[in-house]
Amino acid sequence: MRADRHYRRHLQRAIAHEGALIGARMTRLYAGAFIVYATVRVAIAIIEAPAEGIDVIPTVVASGASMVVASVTITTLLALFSTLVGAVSAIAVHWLLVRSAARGVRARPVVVGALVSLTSLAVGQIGLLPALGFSPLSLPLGTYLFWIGFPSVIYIVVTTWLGRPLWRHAHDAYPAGLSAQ
Amino acid sequence: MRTLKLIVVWFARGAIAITVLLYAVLIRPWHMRWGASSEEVQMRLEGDRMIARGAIVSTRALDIDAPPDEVWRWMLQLGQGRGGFYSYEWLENLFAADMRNAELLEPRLLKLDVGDSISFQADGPATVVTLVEPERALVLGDGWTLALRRIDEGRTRLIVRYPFDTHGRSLDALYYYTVFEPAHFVMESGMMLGIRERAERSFAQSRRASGLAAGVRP
Repeated sequence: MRADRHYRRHLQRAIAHEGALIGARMTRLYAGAFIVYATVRVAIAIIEAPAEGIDVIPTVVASGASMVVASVTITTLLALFSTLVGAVSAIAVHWLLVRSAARGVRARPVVVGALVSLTSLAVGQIGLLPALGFSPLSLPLGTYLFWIGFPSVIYIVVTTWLGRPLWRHAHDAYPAGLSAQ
Repeated sequence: MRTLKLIVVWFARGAIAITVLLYAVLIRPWHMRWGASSEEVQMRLEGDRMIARGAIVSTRALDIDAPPDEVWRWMLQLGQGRGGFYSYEWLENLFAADMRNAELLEPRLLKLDVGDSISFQADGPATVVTLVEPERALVLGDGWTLALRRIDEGRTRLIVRYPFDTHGRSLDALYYYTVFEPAHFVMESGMMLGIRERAERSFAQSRRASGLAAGVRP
Protein backbone atom coordinates (compact mmCIF):
# COMPACT_ATOMS: atom_id res chain seq x y z
CA MET A 1 0.00 0.00 0.00
CA ARG A 2 2.78 2.35 1.04
CA ALA A 3 4.82 1.33 -2.02
CA ASP A 4 1.79 2.02 -4.21
CA ARG A 5 1.37 5.48 -2.72
CA HIS A 6 5.05 6.15 -3.14
CA TYR A 7 4.87 5.05 -6.80
CA ARG A 8 1.85 7.30 -7.45
CA ARG A 9 3.57 10.29 -5.89
CA HIS A 10 6.66 9.63 -7.95
CA LEU A 11 4.53 9.29 -11.08
CA GLN A 12 2.68 12.54 -10.34
CA ARG A 13 5.98 14.34 -9.92
CA ALA A 14 7.32 12.92 -13.18
CA ILE A 15 4.13 13.94 -15.02
CA ALA A 16 4.20 17.45 -13.55
CA HIS A 17 7.86 17.73 -14.51
CA GLU A 18 7.15 16.64 -18.07
CA GLY A 19 4.21 19.09 -18.34
CA ALA A 20 6.36 21.90 -16.97
CA LEU A 21 9.14 21.15 -19.47
CA ILE A 22 6.68 21.14 -22.36
CA GLY A 23 5.18 24.45 -21.16
CA ALA A 24 8.59 26.13 -21.00
CA ARG A 25 9.62 24.64 -24.36
CA MET A 26 6.49 25.94 -26.09
CA THR A 27 7.11 29.44 -24.70
CA ARG A 28 10.68 29.38 -26.00
CA LEU A 29 9.55 28.17 -29.42
CA TYR A 30 6.88 30.87 -29.62
CA ALA A 31 9.42 33.52 -28.60
CA GLY A 32 11.90 32.16 -31.15
CA ALA A 33 9.31 32.40 -33.92
CA PHE A 34 8.49 35.97 -32.84
CA ILE A 35 12.17 36.99 -32.78
CA VAL A 36 12.70 35.66 -36.32
CA TYR A 37 9.53 37.36 -37.61
CA ALA A 38 10.23 40.70 -35.88
CA THR A 39 13.90 40.78 -36.88
CA VAL A 40 13.11 40.11 -40.54
CA ARG A 41 10.34 42.71 -40.59
CA VAL A 42 12.45 45.40 -38.88
CA ALA A 43 15.43 44.54 -41.14
CA ILE A 44 13.27 45.01 -44.25
CA ALA A 45 12.07 48.41 -42.96
CA ILE A 46 15.65 49.56 -42.27
CA ILE A 47 16.89 48.35 -45.65
CA GLU A 48 14.00 50.05 -47.45
CA ALA A 49 14.54 53.37 -45.60
CA PRO A 50 16.85 56.00 -47.16
CA ALA A 51 20.32 54.72 -46.24
CA GLU A 52 22.33 57.94 -46.40
CA GLY A 53 24.40 58.53 -43.28
CA ILE A 54 23.46 55.33 -41.45
CA ASP A 55 25.30 52.02 -41.26
CA VAL A 56 22.55 49.79 -42.60
CA ILE A 57 23.97 46.32 -41.85
CA PRO A 58 25.22 47.18 -38.32
CA THR A 59 21.83 48.80 -37.62
CA VAL A 60 20.02 45.66 -38.78
CA VAL A 61 22.33 43.46 -36.66
CA ALA A 62 22.00 45.74 -33.62
CA SER A 63 18.20 45.82 -33.94
CA GLY A 64 18.04 42.01 -34.22
CA ALA A 65 20.35 41.50 -31.23
CA SER A 66 18.41 44.08 -29.21
CA MET A 67 15.18 42.23 -29.88
CA VAL A 68 16.81 38.94 -28.86
CA VAL A 69 17.97 40.43 -25.54
CA ALA A 70 14.57 41.99 -24.71
CA SER A 71 12.66 38.90 -25.83
CA VAL A 72 14.88 36.49 -23.87
CA THR A 73 14.17 38.42 -20.67
CA ILE A 74 10.42 38.55 -21.25
CA THR A 75 10.40 34.88 -22.32
CA THR A 76 12.19 33.85 -19.13
CA LEU A 77 9.45 35.48 -17.06
CA LEU A 78 6.64 34.05 -19.19
CA ALA A 79 8.26 30.60 -19.10
CA LEU A 80 7.79 30.58 -15.32
CA PHE A 81 4.05 30.99 -15.86
CA SER A 82 3.83 28.41 -18.67
CA THR A 83 5.86 25.97 -16.58
CA LEU A 84 3.17 26.16 -13.91
CA VAL A 85 0.32 25.89 -16.44
CA GLY A 86 2.04 22.92 -18.12
CA ALA A 87 2.55 21.07 -14.84
CA VAL A 88 -1.02 21.63 -13.61
CA SER A 89 -2.52 20.70 -17.00
CA ALA A 90 -0.51 17.48 -17.27
CA ILE A 91 -1.58 16.43 -13.77
CA ALA A 92 -5.22 17.28 -14.56
CA VAL A 93 -5.19 15.26 -17.80
CA HIS A 94 -3.54 12.31 -16.09
CA TRP A 95 -5.91 12.49 -13.11
CA LEU A 96 -8.98 12.40 -15.37
CA LEU A 97 -7.57 9.54 -17.44
CA VAL A 98 -6.68 7.47 -14.38
CA ARG A 99 -10.06 8.11 -12.74
CA SER A 100 -11.93 7.09 -15.88
CA ALA A 101 -9.67 4.04 -16.36
CA ALA A 102 -10.18 2.97 -12.72
CA ARG A 103 -13.95 3.06 -13.31
CA GLY A 104 -13.56 0.98 -16.41
CA VAL A 105 -14.33 3.85 -18.75
CA ARG A 106 -12.16 4.10 -21.82
CA ALA A 107 -11.86 7.87 -22.01
CA ARG A 108 -10.42 9.17 -25.25
CA PRO A 109 -7.15 10.94 -24.40
CA VAL A 110 -7.73 13.54 -27.08
CA VAL A 111 -11.12 14.44 -25.62
CA VAL A 112 -9.71 14.66 -22.09
CA GLY A 113 -6.78 16.82 -23.25
CA ALA A 114 -9.09 19.16 -25.14
CA LEU A 115 -11.51 19.29 -22.20
CA VAL A 116 -8.78 20.24 -19.74
CA SER A 117 -7.29 22.92 -21.98
CA LEU A 118 -10.62 24.48 -22.97
CA THR A 119 -11.85 24.46 -19.37
CA SER A 120 -8.67 26.11 -18.07
CA LEU A 121 -8.80 28.74 -20.82
CA ALA A 122 -12.44 29.48 -20.08
CA VAL A 123 -11.72 29.75 -16.34
CA GLY A 124 -8.71 31.98 -17.01
CA GLN A 125 -10.17 34.27 -19.64
CA ILE A 126 -13.79 34.49 -18.57
CA GLY A 127 -13.40 34.01 -14.84
CA LEU A 128 -9.97 34.75 -13.41
CA LEU A 129 -8.71 37.68 -15.50
CA PRO A 130 -11.96 39.70 -15.38
CA ALA A 131 -12.09 39.04 -11.62
CA LEU A 132 -8.64 40.61 -11.38
CA GLY A 133 -9.96 43.66 -13.23
CA PHE A 134 -8.49 42.83 -16.63
CA SER A 135 -10.70 42.01 -19.57
CA PRO A 136 -8.78 40.21 -22.31
CA LEU A 137 -11.59 40.79 -24.81
CA SER A 138 -11.14 44.55 -24.47
CA LEU A 139 -7.67 44.26 -26.02
CA PRO A 140 -7.13 45.26 -29.66
CA LEU A 141 -7.29 42.21 -31.93
CA GLY A 142 -3.53 42.13 -32.72
CA THR A 143 -2.59 42.43 -29.05
CA TYR A 144 -5.12 39.76 -28.07
CA LEU A 145 -3.93 37.33 -30.73
CA PHE A 146 -0.24 37.80 -29.89
CA TRP A 147 -0.48 37.51 -26.10
CA ILE A 148 -3.55 35.28 -25.65
CA GLY A 149 -5.00 33.98 -28.93
CA PHE A 150 -2.04 32.18 -30.51
CA PRO A 151 -0.62 30.93 -27.17
CA SER A 152 -4.11 29.54 -26.38
CA VAL A 153 -4.23 27.65 -29.68
CA ILE A 154 -0.76 26.21 -28.98
CA TYR A 155 -1.88 25.28 -25.47
CA ILE A 156 -5.01 23.50 -26.74
CA VAL A 157 -3.06 21.57 -29.40
CA VAL A 158 -0.26 20.53 -27.02
CA THR A 159 -2.59 19.56 -24.15
CA THR A 160 -4.78 17.56 -26.52
CA TRP A 161 -1.72 15.80 -27.88
CA LEU A 162 -0.42 15.29 -24.33
CA GLY A 163 -3.43 13.09 -23.60
CA ARG A 164 -1.97 10.20 -25.60
CA PRO A 165 1.29 9.53 -23.69
CA LEU A 166 -0.53 10.12 -20.40
CA TRP A 167 -3.20 7.64 -21.44
CA ARG A 168 -0.44 5.05 -21.71
CA HIS A 169 0.51 5.80 -18.08
CA ALA A 170 -3.13 5.34 -17.05
CA HIS A 171 -3.30 2.13 -19.04
CA ASP A 172 -0.18 0.82 -17.27
CA ALA A 173 -1.66 1.70 -13.89
CA TYR A 174 -5.13 0.21 -14.57
CA PRO A 175 -4.78 -2.31 -17.39
CA ALA A 176 -7.74 -4.33 -16.13
CA GLY A 177 -10.08 -1.35 -16.11
CA LEU A 178 -9.23 -0.57 -19.70
CA SER A 179 -9.19 -4.07 -21.06
CA ALA A 180 -12.62 -4.63 -19.52
CA GLN A 181 -14.01 -2.25 -22.18
CA MET B 1 16.94 11.82 -33.75
CA ARG B 2 17.83 12.42 -30.12
CA THR B 3 21.34 13.54 -31.09
CA LEU B 4 19.94 15.92 -33.69
CA LYS B 5 17.57 17.36 -31.10
CA LEU B 6 20.45 17.87 -28.68
CA ILE B 7 22.50 19.58 -31.39
CA VAL B 8 19.62 21.94 -32.23
CA VAL B 9 19.01 22.76 -28.55
CA TRP B 10 22.66 23.45 -27.81
CA PHE B 11 23.09 25.42 -31.02
CA ALA B 12 20.12 27.64 -30.08
CA ARG B 13 21.45 28.11 -26.54
CA GLY B 14 24.93 28.92 -27.85
CA ALA B 15 23.55 31.40 -30.40
CA ILE B 16 21.54 33.20 -27.71
CA ALA B 17 24.52 33.28 -25.32
CA ILE B 18 26.82 34.69 -28.04
CA THR B 19 24.18 37.27 -29.07
CA VAL B 20 23.74 38.46 -25.48
CA LEU B 21 27.52 38.67 -25.01
CA LEU B 22 28.03 40.55 -28.29
CA TYR B 23 25.16 42.85 -27.36
CA ALA B 24 26.74 43.74 -24.02
CA VAL B 25 30.30 44.15 -25.28
CA LEU B 26 29.92 45.62 -28.78
CA ILE B 27 26.37 46.44 -29.79
CA ARG B 28 25.15 48.34 -26.73
CA PRO B 29 28.05 50.85 -26.66
CA TRP B 30 27.47 51.41 -30.39
CA HIS B 31 23.69 51.84 -30.32
CA MET B 32 23.79 54.18 -27.31
CA ARG B 33 25.34 56.73 -29.68
CA TRP B 34 23.86 55.51 -32.95
CA GLY B 35 24.95 57.89 -35.75
CA ALA B 36 26.18 60.55 -33.30
CA SER B 37 29.68 62.05 -33.35
CA SER B 38 31.75 62.44 -30.16
CA GLU B 39 31.00 66.18 -30.25
CA GLU B 40 27.26 65.49 -30.40
CA VAL B 41 27.47 63.05 -27.51
CA GLN B 42 29.23 65.74 -25.43
CA MET B 43 27.14 68.63 -26.76
CA ARG B 44 24.74 70.40 -24.40
CA LEU B 45 21.17 70.11 -25.58
CA GLU B 46 18.08 72.06 -24.54
CA GLY B 47 16.69 69.36 -22.27
CA ASP B 48 19.92 68.55 -20.42
CA ARG B 49 19.04 70.61 -17.35
CA MET B 50 16.01 68.37 -16.78
CA ILE B 51 18.05 65.17 -16.79
CA ALA B 52 18.50 63.64 -13.36
CA ARG B 53 22.03 63.21 -12.10
CA GLY B 54 23.16 59.63 -12.59
CA ALA B 55 20.67 58.93 -15.37
CA ILE B 56 21.79 56.63 -18.18
CA VAL B 57 21.79 58.69 -21.37
CA SER B 58 21.76 57.76 -25.04
CA THR B 59 22.45 60.25 -27.85
CA ARG B 60 21.52 59.33 -31.41
CA ALA B 61 21.74 61.42 -34.56
CA LEU B 62 20.80 61.43 -38.21
CA ASP B 63 21.05 63.75 -41.26
CA ILE B 64 17.81 64.71 -42.98
CA ASP B 65 17.62 66.17 -46.49
CA ALA B 66 15.04 68.76 -45.52
CA PRO B 67 15.24 72.12 -43.68
CA PRO B 68 14.45 72.31 -39.93
CA ASP B 69 10.97 73.80 -40.44
CA GLU B 70 9.95 70.77 -42.51
CA VAL B 71 11.29 68.29 -39.93
CA TRP B 72 9.76 70.32 -37.11
CA ARG B 73 6.24 69.94 -38.51
CA TRP B 74 6.54 66.17 -38.39
CA MET B 75 7.94 66.32 -34.85
CA LEU B 76 4.93 68.36 -33.71
CA GLN B 77 2.63 65.47 -34.65
CA LEU B 78 4.36 62.96 -32.34
CA GLY B 79 2.20 60.93 -30.00
CA GLN B 80 -0.42 58.21 -29.81
CA GLY B 81 -3.78 59.50 -31.00
CA ARG B 82 -1.85 62.15 -32.94
CA GLY B 83 0.59 61.34 -35.77
CA GLY B 84 2.11 58.32 -34.01
CA PHE B 85 5.82 57.92 -33.38
CA TYR B 86 6.68 57.02 -37.01
CA SER B 87 8.33 53.85 -35.75
CA TYR B 88 7.23 50.22 -36.08
CA GLU B 89 3.52 50.60 -35.33
CA TRP B 90 2.83 46.85 -35.77
CA LEU B 91 5.34 46.22 -32.94
CA GLU B 92 3.86 48.97 -30.76
CA ASN B 93 0.37 47.61 -31.37
CA LEU B 94 1.37 44.21 -29.98
CA PHE B 95 1.49 46.09 -26.67
CA ALA B 96 -2.01 47.60 -27.07
CA ALA B 97 -0.61 50.96 -28.14
CA ASP B 98 -3.29 51.48 -30.81
CA MET B 99 -0.73 53.47 -32.79
CA ARG B 100 -1.30 54.81 -36.29
CA ASN B 101 1.59 56.55 -37.99
CA ALA B 102 0.55 59.56 -40.04
CA GLU B 103 1.74 59.80 -43.61
CA LEU B 104 0.44 63.34 -44.04
CA LEU B 105 0.74 66.56 -42.05
CA GLU B 106 -2.51 67.42 -40.34
CA PRO B 107 -2.99 71.14 -39.60
CA ARG B 108 -4.90 70.41 -36.35
CA LEU B 109 -1.83 68.59 -34.96
CA LEU B 110 0.78 71.21 -35.83
CA LYS B 111 0.66 72.87 -32.46
CA LEU B 112 2.29 71.74 -29.27
CA ASP B 113 2.68 73.72 -26.05
CA VAL B 114 4.51 73.19 -22.78
CA GLY B 115 2.27 71.11 -20.52
CA ASP B 116 0.58 69.21 -23.36
CA SER B 117 0.38 65.49 -22.86
CA ILE B 118 1.89 63.01 -25.32
CA SER B 119 0.67 59.42 -24.99
CA PHE B 120 2.66 56.31 -25.75
CA GLN B 121 -0.34 54.00 -25.59
CA ALA B 122 -4.14 54.23 -25.76
CA ASP B 123 -5.34 54.78 -22.17
CA GLY B 124 -1.75 54.14 -21.11
CA PRO B 125 1.37 55.98 -20.01
CA ALA B 126 1.98 59.50 -21.25
CA THR B 127 4.62 62.17 -20.96
CA VAL B 128 4.41 65.95 -20.81
CA VAL B 129 5.94 68.50 -23.16
CA THR B 130 8.48 70.37 -21.04
CA LEU B 131 10.10 72.66 -23.62
CA VAL B 132 9.24 73.87 -27.10
CA GLU B 133 11.78 75.89 -29.11
CA PRO B 134 10.27 76.00 -32.60
CA GLU B 135 12.42 74.43 -35.29
CA ARG B 136 15.17 73.80 -32.72
CA ALA B 137 14.12 71.55 -29.85
CA LEU B 138 11.24 69.60 -28.43
CA VAL B 139 11.74 68.26 -24.91
CA LEU B 140 9.45 65.64 -23.40
CA GLY B 141 9.28 64.52 -19.77
CA ASP B 142 12.53 64.51 -17.83
CA GLY B 143 14.80 65.49 -20.69
CA TRP B 144 13.94 63.36 -23.73
CA THR B 145 15.20 65.86 -26.29
CA LEU B 146 14.63 65.94 -30.03
CA ALA B 147 16.95 68.68 -31.26
CA LEU B 148 17.32 70.09 -34.76
CA ARG B 149 20.48 71.74 -36.06
CA ARG B 150 20.61 73.30 -39.50
CA ILE B 151 23.47 71.88 -41.59
CA ASP B 152 22.82 74.04 -44.66
CA GLU B 153 19.85 75.42 -46.58
CA GLY B 154 18.23 72.10 -47.30
CA ARG B 155 19.63 69.78 -44.64
CA THR B 156 19.10 69.25 -40.92
CA ARG B 157 20.77 67.21 -38.21
CA LEU B 158 18.30 65.46 -35.92
CA ILE B 159 19.84 64.69 -32.51
CA VAL B 160 17.82 62.67 -30.00
CA ARG B 161 18.91 62.34 -26.39
CA TYR B 162 17.08 60.00 -24.03
CA PRO B 163 17.76 59.76 -20.29
CA PHE B 164 16.64 56.90 -18.07
CA ASP B 165 16.89 57.26 -14.33
CA THR B 166 17.06 53.97 -12.47
CA HIS B 167 16.94 55.90 -9.13
CA GLY B 168 19.71 53.56 -7.98
CA ARG B 169 17.24 50.69 -7.71
CA SER B 170 18.56 47.31 -8.83
CA LEU B 171 15.19 46.12 -10.15
CA ASP B 172 14.82 49.27 -12.28
CA ALA B 173 18.36 48.80 -13.56
CA LEU B 174 17.68 45.15 -14.39
CA TYR B 175 14.51 46.12 -16.28
CA TYR B 176 16.33 48.95 -18.04
CA TYR B 177 19.34 46.96 -19.25
CA THR B 178 17.52 43.77 -20.22
CA VAL B 179 14.21 45.01 -21.63
CA PHE B 180 13.78 48.75 -21.94
CA GLU B 181 17.09 49.83 -23.43
CA PRO B 182 17.32 47.24 -26.24
CA ALA B 183 13.64 47.75 -27.13
CA HIS B 184 14.05 51.51 -26.94
CA PHE B 185 16.95 51.45 -29.42
CA VAL B 186 14.82 49.58 -31.96
CA MET B 187 11.86 51.94 -31.52
CA GLU B 188 13.84 55.19 -31.32
CA SER B 189 16.04 54.48 -34.35
CA GLY B 190 12.83 53.47 -36.16
CA MET B 191 11.25 56.79 -35.13
CA MET B 192 14.24 58.77 -36.38
CA LEU B 193 14.20 56.94 -39.71
CA GLY B 194 10.44 57.50 -39.88
CA ILE B 195 10.78 61.25 -39.28
CA ARG B 196 13.52 61.43 -41.90
CA GLU B 197 11.55 59.53 -44.50
CA ARG B 198 8.45 61.70 -44.05
CA ALA B 199 10.29 65.04 -43.88
CA GLU B 200 12.35 64.27 -46.98
CA ARG B 201 9.28 63.13 -48.87
CA SER B 202 7.16 66.16 -47.97
CA PHE B 203 10.06 68.55 -48.64
CA ALA B 204 10.63 66.99 -52.07
CA GLN B 205 6.89 67.28 -52.80
CA SER B 206 6.75 70.93 -51.73
CA ARG B 207 9.85 71.71 -53.81
CA ARG B 208 8.27 70.05 -56.82
CA ALA B 209 5.04 71.94 -56.23
CA SER B 210 6.79 75.31 -55.88
CA GLY B 211 8.89 74.53 -58.97
CA LEU B 212 5.74 73.78 -60.94
CA ALA B 213 4.08 76.96 -59.67
CA ALA B 214 7.08 78.96 -60.86
CA GLY B 215 6.88 77.25 -64.24
CA VAL B 216 10.04 75.20 -63.71
CA ARG B 217 10.08 71.60 -64.86
CA PRO B 218 10.59 69.26 -61.88
